[in-house]
Amino acid sequence: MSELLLELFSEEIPAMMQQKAVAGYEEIFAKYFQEQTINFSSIKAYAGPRRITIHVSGISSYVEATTKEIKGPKISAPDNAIEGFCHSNGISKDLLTHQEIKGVEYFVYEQILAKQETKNILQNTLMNPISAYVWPKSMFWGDYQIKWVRPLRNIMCIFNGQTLDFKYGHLVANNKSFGHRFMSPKSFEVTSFAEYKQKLSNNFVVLDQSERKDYILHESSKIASQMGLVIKEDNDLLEEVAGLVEYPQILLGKIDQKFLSVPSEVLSSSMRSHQKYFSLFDKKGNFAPYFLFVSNIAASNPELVIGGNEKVLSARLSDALYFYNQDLKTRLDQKSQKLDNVIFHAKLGSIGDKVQRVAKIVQYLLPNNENLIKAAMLCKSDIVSEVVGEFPNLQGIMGYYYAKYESLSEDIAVAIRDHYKPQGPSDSCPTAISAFLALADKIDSLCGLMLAGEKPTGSKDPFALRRQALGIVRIILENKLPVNIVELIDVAGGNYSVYKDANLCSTKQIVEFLEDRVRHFLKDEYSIELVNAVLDLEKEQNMTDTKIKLDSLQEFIADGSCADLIVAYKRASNIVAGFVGKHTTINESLFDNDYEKNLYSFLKDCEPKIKAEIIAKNYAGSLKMLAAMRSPIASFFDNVMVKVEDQGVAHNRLALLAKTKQLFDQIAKFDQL
Amino acid sequence: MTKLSFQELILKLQYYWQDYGCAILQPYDVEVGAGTFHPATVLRSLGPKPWNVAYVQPSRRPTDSRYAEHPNRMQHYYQFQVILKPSPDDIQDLYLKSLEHLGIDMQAHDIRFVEDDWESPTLGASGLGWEVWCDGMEVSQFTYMQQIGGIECRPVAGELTYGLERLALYIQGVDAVKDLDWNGQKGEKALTYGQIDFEAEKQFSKFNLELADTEILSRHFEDSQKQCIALIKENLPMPAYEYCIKASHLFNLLCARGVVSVTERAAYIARVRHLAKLCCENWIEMDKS
Repeated sequence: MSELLLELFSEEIPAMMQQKAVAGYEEIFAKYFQEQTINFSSIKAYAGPRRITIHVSGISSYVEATTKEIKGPKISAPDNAIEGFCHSNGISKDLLTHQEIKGVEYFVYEQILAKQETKNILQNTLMNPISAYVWPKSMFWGDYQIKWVRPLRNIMCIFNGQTLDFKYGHLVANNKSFGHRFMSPKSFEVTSFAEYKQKLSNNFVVLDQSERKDYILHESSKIASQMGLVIKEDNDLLEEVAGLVEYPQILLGKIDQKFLSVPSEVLSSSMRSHQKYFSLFDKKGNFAPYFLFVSNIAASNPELVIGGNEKVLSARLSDALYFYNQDLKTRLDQKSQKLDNVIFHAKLGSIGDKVQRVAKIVQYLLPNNENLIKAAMLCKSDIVSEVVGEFPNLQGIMGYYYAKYESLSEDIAVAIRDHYKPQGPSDSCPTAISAFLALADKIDSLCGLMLAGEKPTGSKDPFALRRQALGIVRIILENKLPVNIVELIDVAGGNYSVYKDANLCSTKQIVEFLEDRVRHFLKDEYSIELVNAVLDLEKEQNMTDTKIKLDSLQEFIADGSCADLIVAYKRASNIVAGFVGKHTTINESLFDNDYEKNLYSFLKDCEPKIKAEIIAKNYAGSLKMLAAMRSPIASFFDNVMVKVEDQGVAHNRLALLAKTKQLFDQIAKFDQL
Repeated sequence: MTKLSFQELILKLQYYWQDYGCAILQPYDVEVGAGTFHPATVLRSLGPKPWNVAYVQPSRRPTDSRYAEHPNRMQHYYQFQVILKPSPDDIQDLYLKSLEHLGIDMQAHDIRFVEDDWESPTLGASGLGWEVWCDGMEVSQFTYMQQIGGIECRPVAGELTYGLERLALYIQGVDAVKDLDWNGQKGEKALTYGQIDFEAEKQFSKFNLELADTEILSRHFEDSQKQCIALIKENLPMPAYEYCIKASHLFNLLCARGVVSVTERAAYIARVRHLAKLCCENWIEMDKS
């Protein structure tokens, strides 16, 4: 058994691309080995700023002789096609055999592959998997012909202790690797993975990205807890900084008190996005005037590195402070005037227009609530603030601070802040008036963008409409809002009358799109059959009621005793299928037994009561009444033949069953269960 | 670290790259947004001929006008630009040695290459590379030019852009640009960056943000565009390109005046990009003959 060690030594590889490259190369190499029919036991890839390393172990030294079938043209294909096939495989026509594939005769060439040394296969083909990985962006450099994420400087390749000197572009693989760029820049020779890892470690390079991550996390937590502080958790940032260093060193810097007047979100954003620093908070959640950062060198005098970083941060935070103070000079309503110049969507006008529409929608949702209307009018104003211009992720949050600064009520400030929520499945839902504002903003976007023809297709959803729709569903359900969704879509869509005429999408399609999202959301909590039985937005336009129905029906089914009721329903449903509408009148005089009469009297008795319960939204009560019909229905089926010779009687019985079915249908589509 | 004055910093970089074999050029005498706009980068990075140059380029970003009140954001600043075509294998080491030449000890500081891809929509240009950090401070942009004027760059030029103010702040240990020591003199002869440039900073801020006549600017934009196209027809890509960058600067001024809406912005950029493309194509054609 042999091992393959391949190191692609590069100029600095973007941190955010490394994780995907690890997975990508592992997959590509596994596939490559399978295609070459080389047996192996494991493949592992490593990534860091200056190298991608692939280690394959347990490789068999030989690939046994085998045959490979190559499918050629159809028997009926013209001669030149057949000649072409032979030519491309370097064979004569008499080596071809016939084979039938899905009823068609094809030429097939059975290629005989001799036993081969794995080493030779690798030597001749290893450049292929290297170039097979597609980086999100790649480049040319110098005057060379190969493309990679950044200039590839060296390839080291060891198979079974020996150098495999294959060529890739202008590079010839060798047995050399390199230490840390500054702490140990020399090259060294390698014969095995174990030796490679050891030598890297001696030369200040931690090869394994997860080791670097663990170290950073562990060391920084240690420093924080020594200070009685906690680190703001941020896995993306951790991932990124682990990809920026080969030899992580954690350092702690101080932040000047004068910056603490700036909201902590601004400080954290500035530290994170520009400098990749971790923020610290005290146990009460207050921003602490310190930061942690990861350097790539064990410097002779760390104070120098810390001092440098403190200075940079101070300049960054001066920017933030300057922007923040600039923003405080104008009120939100003054800022909102600039929104007419900010485009919402090329076909749908400006953000200023959007604000007007959202204000109309909140007026529909919760009439005459002054705070809500005010929040609606101001919710987008911070978009034109300097801070949000610098840190777009702080939209909403800055609006909150500016609202507080001009002494607007907490309600308004919170609604401005939270109207973008929920921003993902794990984000919390806004409540109180924030919920109405968030709902209005999202339904406006959803309707407008759908009407403008921006409906998501497949994996493409550039306006995140699925997320918006899910937000709408969650806001309504989690707040139990009594919103008529179809009417709301009409109201919001109506604000865009121009685009409705363009006929790119109807409001009905918006309802369908939303219903799809509702289904998607509810099936996490309920079985899909249950959801399909109850969900119908056109019929039940209040999603909160849909949810109550689901709960009632779920409980009803969980009881177990109703299983035969559902069977009976389906039986009735099957029998009347095709007869619906034709036999609606029930003639009591045609009943000739007590089972029919009994069922009918139950129906007459239950129908108004069930309807009343549904109107009262007491679905559990209505289901209970249905359950009471179990025995008359069962007796009916046990003792009565529906399709009898006497057409009058048969039709009368069908009508009776149809009516029974209708009663069920008022509550749910039981045939889905 | 010896505290180099601002001008010594420039001189040291010039000597370093001269010793490497670069031609030391002078700034281009038209308003530009960055060192890249110099024809020595835009036009000469195209085509097969080797090209190794270095130069200082005073640069303007009207939207960064802050009336000299911001510690480190100005509408006028200086870049030091190096172009090496084709990019040599040891270009990163050459760059790092230039920092050492400025007195930055690689063992004592945390130097990092952090992904930062460069794109200029107005030039139809893009490249891949990094910003270079020294103890968290971005001191340079490092770019492998991939495309200019919509034309693929082959061979590829390496572009090093030193942010001179940032670098000087770092080396001199100063907090604000205005306090940078410009000429290294003591007493009467001493001059700071602020003394030299900040009056202009105030006056131009007022011009850029408040007074620039938008009608004149729009008209000049149209004229520059017309002139550029006329010169291309005469196969004179160099003066044509000059009018392309004039148009670009006029557009930047219009932006600073806040009169360009988002949709208009895209249209303006597309117009300048078109000019840049015509110039570059014409340059390549003329270069061949």
